[in-house]
Amino acid sequence: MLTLISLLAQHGAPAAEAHVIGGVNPLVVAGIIFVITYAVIMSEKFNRAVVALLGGGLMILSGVLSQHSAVQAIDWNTIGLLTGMMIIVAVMQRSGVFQYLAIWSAKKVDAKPWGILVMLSIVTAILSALLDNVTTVLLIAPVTLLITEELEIAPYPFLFSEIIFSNIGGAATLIGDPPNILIGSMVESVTFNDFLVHIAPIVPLVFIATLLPIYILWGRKLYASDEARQRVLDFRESEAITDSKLLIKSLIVLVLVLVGFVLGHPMGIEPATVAMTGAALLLLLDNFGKNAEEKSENVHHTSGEVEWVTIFFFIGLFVIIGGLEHAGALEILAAQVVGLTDGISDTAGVTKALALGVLWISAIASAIVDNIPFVATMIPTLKEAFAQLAENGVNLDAAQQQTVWWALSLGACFGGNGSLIGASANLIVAGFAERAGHPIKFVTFLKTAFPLMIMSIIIATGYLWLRYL
Amino acid sequence: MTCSTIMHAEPITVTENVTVGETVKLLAEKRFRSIPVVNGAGKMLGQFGVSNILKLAIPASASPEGGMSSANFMNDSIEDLQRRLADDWNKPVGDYCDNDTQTLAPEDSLTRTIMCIASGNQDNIPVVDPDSGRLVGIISYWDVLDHLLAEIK
Repeated sequence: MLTLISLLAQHGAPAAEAHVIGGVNPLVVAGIIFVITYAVIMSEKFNRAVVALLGGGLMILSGVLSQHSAVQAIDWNTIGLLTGMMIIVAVMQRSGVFQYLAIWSAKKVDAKPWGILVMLSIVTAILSALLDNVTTVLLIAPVTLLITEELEIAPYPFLFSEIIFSNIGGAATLIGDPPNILIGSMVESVTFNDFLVHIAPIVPLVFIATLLPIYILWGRKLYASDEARQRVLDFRESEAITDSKLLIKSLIVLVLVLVGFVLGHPMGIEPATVAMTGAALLLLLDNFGKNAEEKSENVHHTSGEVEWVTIFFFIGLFVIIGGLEHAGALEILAAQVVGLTDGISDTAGVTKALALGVLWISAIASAIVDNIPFVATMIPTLKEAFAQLAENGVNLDAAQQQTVWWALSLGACFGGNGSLIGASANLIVAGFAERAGHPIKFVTFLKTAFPLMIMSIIIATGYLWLRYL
Repeated sequence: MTCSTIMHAEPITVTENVTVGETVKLLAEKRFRSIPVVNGAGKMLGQFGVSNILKLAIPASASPEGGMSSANFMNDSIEDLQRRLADDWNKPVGDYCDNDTQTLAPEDSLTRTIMCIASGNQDNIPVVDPDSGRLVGIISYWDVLDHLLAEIK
């Protein structure tokens, strides 16, 4: 980070729109705001959304960005997609469908502990691919704690697996994990279907490879008495569905939204439009037949369920990165990325160096810091790097550029598994575990999760190598 | 008039290491709905009451705090519920009391005292010395009502 400031200080020329504030180079001002904001976010001393919004405010107040440019820097496609999906899930979860799925899957395997672990892992991975990871674990972790309590077994292997597989499953689609939402929204050439074709196939592979060590570590030793298993078998999953009409309405809208993602892009319809329209449609259906007061109360309540803190965090980040971009700092970062390819002149070689470099750097970085700010900075940086390479006569074609985006996606999504603070879902599960009296320790988690993360990145390296490099 | 003029000084309490079972017996014997839990030095830790006992009979994770809004799919037998309660019977009550109990200070006004009682969250409000954290008294809604009615009469 400090090297970044010194780098910025060496580069004199202020960028086009930025004003010089009190004789200080805007490049330096933007760099300092960026470094301080990210450092405070990493320290986790304050709420990350508050810090990001403050950083964004400083970018404008210091004159690096005008408010107009700041608003333009916000990627509304990301914001719309996130908000829309959060509303849909907020309505859908009231139907009890997620508890139903968890209990149904536990009973399908005769309430045997290892079977339950595998089933809950599959459910978590699939739901994470279709919904946001945080939402998925928020819905699955409580039922998991209940089931393990009834089985009288330690919940740790189950919660651990859910963290790991929510990040692995989330990698499969554009909407599954925040890094993918960012890539899908900010990179025009990457579509929902591209994720299905290029990223989804590796996910089952990594899933199985990760399940194996979990079996050896915990799975083969899991045991529950017949009596305890009977308690779970006595659960009546159909009773978990509290509102079957709402369930049908939400499933219809969810399917429509997914179809919208698949078919929308060729027709010029972006994911935010699909998600927000779907959210509005579901709110309409949900309130059908209610009186005015109930309607207003219901919509108000659902809006409250949206994780506004996350939304504001994204908005703040976009403004901060917009400030860096305006001040010309991203050109310097991009030059560092281009530096990875020094001495390579053919496009295939450059793609190889960039993809592998981005994959491993993203994986390690995402284990140490939250992967959202990392990816949000990397996207414009990589775009700039492609432009700089083109100026040097190394023109990466669309497919080669995409390979680098896949490397970023896989590195950031899988990298989130590297530590307890690697992704938001990890912290959510840890929070539940602590409240239930089974706290997840940072180092204990790291010891198992980090090697598993490295294994998934090795698989990703092989996948990229064989398919694209 | 302040809170201290109508509170009961030296209320009945349990210390944190008394077992859940003994506390339940005391509650049943005195017909209290809750009782303050203090440490050895008399510092207020929280309250333990009937709702805390009932929560011990259901799985810890089947609570709204645990993220479960409805657990209608569970069909525990009375033996299951009793077994869970029995599991915690000999544990110290300090581990199970509510530690977000609302309290008053002896110098608090009568208006604040009534507001606190009228909110209806607790049947009785412990009165705690703000400096030492020690429990100095307790106020039930009857204490407040008796005072109010006495003035009207």
